[in-house]
Amino acid sequence: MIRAENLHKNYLMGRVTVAALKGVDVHIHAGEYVAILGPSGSGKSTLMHILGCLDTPSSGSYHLAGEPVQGLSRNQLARVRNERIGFVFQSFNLLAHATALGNVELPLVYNGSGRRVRQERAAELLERVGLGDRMEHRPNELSGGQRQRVALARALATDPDVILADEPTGNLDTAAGEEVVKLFEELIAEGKTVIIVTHDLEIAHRARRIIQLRDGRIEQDSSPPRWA
Amino acid sequence: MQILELFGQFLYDLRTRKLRVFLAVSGIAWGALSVILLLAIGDAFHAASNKAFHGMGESIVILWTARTTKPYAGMKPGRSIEMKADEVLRMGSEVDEIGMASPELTHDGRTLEFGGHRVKAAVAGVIPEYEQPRNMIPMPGGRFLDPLDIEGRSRVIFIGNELKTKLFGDTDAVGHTLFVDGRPFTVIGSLTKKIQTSNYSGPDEDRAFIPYTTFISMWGNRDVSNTVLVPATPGDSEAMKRAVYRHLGRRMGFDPQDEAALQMWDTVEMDRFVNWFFWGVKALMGLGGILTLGAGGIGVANIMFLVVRERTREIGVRMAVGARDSDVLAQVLLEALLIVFIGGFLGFVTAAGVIAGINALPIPDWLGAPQLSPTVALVTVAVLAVVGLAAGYAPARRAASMDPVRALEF
Repeated sequence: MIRAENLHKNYLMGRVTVAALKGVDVHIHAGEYVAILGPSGSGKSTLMHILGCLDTPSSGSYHLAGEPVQGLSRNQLARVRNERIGFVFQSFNLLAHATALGNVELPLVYNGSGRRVRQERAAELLERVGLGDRMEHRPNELSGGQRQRVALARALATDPDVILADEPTGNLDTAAGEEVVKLFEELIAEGKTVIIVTHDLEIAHRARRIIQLRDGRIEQDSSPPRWA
Repeated sequence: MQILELFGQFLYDLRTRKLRVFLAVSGIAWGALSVILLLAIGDAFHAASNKAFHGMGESIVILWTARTTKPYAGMKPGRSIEMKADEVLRMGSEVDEIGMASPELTHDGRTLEFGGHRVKAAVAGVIPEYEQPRNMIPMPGGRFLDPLDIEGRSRVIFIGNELKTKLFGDTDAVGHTLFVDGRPFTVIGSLTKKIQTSNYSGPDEDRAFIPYTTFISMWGNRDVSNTVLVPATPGDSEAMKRAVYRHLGRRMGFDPQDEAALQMWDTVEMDRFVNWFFWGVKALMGLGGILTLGAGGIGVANIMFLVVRERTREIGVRMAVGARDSDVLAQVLLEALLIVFIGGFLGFVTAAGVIAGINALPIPDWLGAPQLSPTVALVTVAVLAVVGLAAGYAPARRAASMDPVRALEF
C-alpha cells in the first residue's frame, strides 16, 4: 500500500537547512496497523505529512497504492488525499460552525457528491461511531471523545484505504482514548490500513508494528514485513 | 461548493463576530445607498431637464431672417431679408429636407377680454402642423387649430394655460367667446401645463394662437416673425439647414454661403449637447457613489484578510480532506460576495425608503422625482459584483496558496 524509499526532507530555517528526514524507507501493506513512535523532533510528523500527501519529500520516492506521488500538482495531491487518505488529528480540527453531520460531509463536498448522498453517508458513519443521536450538535456541544469520533467518521467519509492519525488520543482522557483506539482496531478488522503517530507507548503497543524514529532516521522497525 | 454551508459560516460569523460583520456590511450598504441615490437623482434630473427643455419642442429648428453680409447679384451687403407666410409654406413643400415648416406671425400686446377680465398678450398666427413639434397639447375637451380653420379664416383661438387662468379662472374656457382687440373669437382649446425652460417670444402659457390666415385678415399680410422647422429625417438638422440656405438664397436673392442672412436656433444640436452634459453629470455622480462603495470594498477586503488569517487552520483541514486551491479560492470569494450583496441589499432597501421619502416631499418640477429604475438596479448590481470580486480576490488568493502543513500547524 505504502512504499516510500530513501525519503529526505530538508527545511530552511532562516539561513540554516535542517534535515528532518535523513533517508527513511517505509513499506506498509494494506491492512497493517502501524504506530510511528518517537520523541518530538524525531521527524515523525514530517513523515506523516509526507505519507499523507500534505507535503512532498525533498528527495526519495513515494508510491501510494502503486501510484507514484512525487511530481503531482497541488490539485492532484488534494485528490489523492480526498480519495485515499483519512486524517485524524490530535486537536480534532472540526469546523466550529458546522454540525457533526456537516463536518463528516466535508470530504464528500470536495469529491462532488450530491447532497443526498453526503447526508446519508455522513449519518451512517456517525451511527457507526456511536453518535447517531448527536448529528445536529456542533463541536462545542460535544465532549472531547465525541469530537474525536466525529473526526474519525469524517476520515472515513470517502472510504479511503489509509487512516493517518496524529496523536489521536493526545487530548483525551483514558476512557475516551480507549473508545477511539477500539474504533481503530475495528477498522483494521475491516482491512483498512491504520497508521498512528504517537509518543504514547501504551497506544503504540496496541499496534502490530512499531516504527521508531530518532533524528530523522528509523531506529527500529518492530516487525519488518518478511515479504518486503 | 455548497451555498448552504457558506450561509452557515456567515451566520456563525454574524453571531460570534457581530461588530466586525456589521461594520463590513454597513460599509457596503452605505456605498450602495450612495450609488443608488446619486444615480436615481441624476436620472430624474436628466429626465426632468429633458422634458423641460422639450417644453418648447423636440428636434425643431427656429428660423429668423436677418441682414446679408455679402454682395450678391449686384446687390450690396446689409440688405434686410423678410419673408411672408406663403413663402414659408412654399419652402415647406419644395424643400425635401424639410418635414414641416410653419410660419409664425406674432403681434405683441394685444388686448384679450372676457367677462370683465382684460389681459395684454402676444397673439401668434400659425398652422395646425405647429401643434405637435411645439408641444401644444390641448387640455381634455379642447383642440388645436385644424385645416378648416385656416381655410375659413375662422375666428378661433387656442390660449396658453396662464392666459386661460387670468381670463376664465378655474372654469372651462372651451366654447366661450373672448375678444381680441374688440373682435370676438371662440376658444377651441387651452394649453396643458408644461415645463418650458426655453422660448423665443415668451413662454407659451402666456400666448394665444390663431390661424395665420385669420391673423392676416385682422392685421394685414405682415412679415413672419419666425419660422418653425422640423427636419424630414429626425435628428438630421444639418442637411435641412444647408437646403434652407440654398432655397432661400435663390428665392430671396442672397448668397447661400452668407450664413448671417439667416439665423437658426437648432434645438437638435442643443439636445445633443444637453445629453452629453447630463451624461457627464450622471457619470460624475455615479463615480462619487462608486468611490464611496469602493471604500466599503476596501473594508470588506480587510475583513476577508482577517477571516482568512483566523481560519488558517480550518483552511488546512479543508485541504487535508481534499479541497483543491480553487475550492478554497471560491469559498473566500463567495463569502466576500455574500457580504457585499447583503450590504448591497440593505443599501437598496434603504435607498428605496429614502426615494419614497423624497417623493413624499414637494419636489420642484425641474429636479424631477427620483425613481429606482431597472437601469439603476442593474448598474448597482454590476458595481457590487465587481467590488465583491475585487475585495475578495487578494484574500482568496492568499488562502488558496497556503501550504497545508503550515496551515494545519498554525
